[in-house]
Amino acid sequence: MEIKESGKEKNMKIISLEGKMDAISAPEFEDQMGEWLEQGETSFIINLGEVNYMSSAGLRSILIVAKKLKEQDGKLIFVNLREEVQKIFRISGFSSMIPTYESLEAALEHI
Amino acid sequence: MVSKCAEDLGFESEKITDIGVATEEALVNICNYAYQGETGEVKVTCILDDENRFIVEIEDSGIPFDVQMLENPDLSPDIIEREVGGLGVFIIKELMDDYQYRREDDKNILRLINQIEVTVPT
Repeated sequence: MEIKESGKEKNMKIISLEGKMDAISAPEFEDQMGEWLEQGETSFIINLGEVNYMSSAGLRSILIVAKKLKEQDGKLIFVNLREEVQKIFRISGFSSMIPTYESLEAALEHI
Repeated sequence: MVSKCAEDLGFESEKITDIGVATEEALVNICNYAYQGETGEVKVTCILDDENRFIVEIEDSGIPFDVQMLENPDLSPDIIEREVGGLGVFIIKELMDDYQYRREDDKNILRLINQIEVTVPT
């Protein structure tokens, strides 16, 4: 999985993930987010448009990160979920717990 | 390997992903719990049965782990209250058409079952 930074909008750090978010790659996401958190970043929009696979290991990392951000009054928003990933978010209850938008533009409008 | 078998049988891409995810969930559970820190073996077999079902059979010799006895996680709490983990088996149950577990000869045998849709050529 690749993690790319795409600057900032409305004071939120924009991140794009690419590839599979599975038991092997999910800890990378958790570590990278941890680093940014240490640098004082607390609000993120994460583009999942190029993520075609999500397992419970991915959800686990997302929840751990979401908890840390919540404690610091931060924000975590996901955008552009593909059908496969949306399904995993839906059945695990993540869709009602973590805000998701159909596009980056839609998310920025609602912030 | 499992995804390749599913692909060869003509499953659509969303179902192939579902089968891949469910297989990963089962294997990760075995890696984390079955052998309690020791090394152990796991055998994965793809089966096409006579009822036109594609079955991924996953066998390990670790401690008994009956996925059917596991309670579903509580999905209602907010981010702070929500427990980390416990979603793997639930995802298997949700994504697969059916699943079966049995303990046989000191082995856990989990079968992930999906019906193959037969399409009539037009």
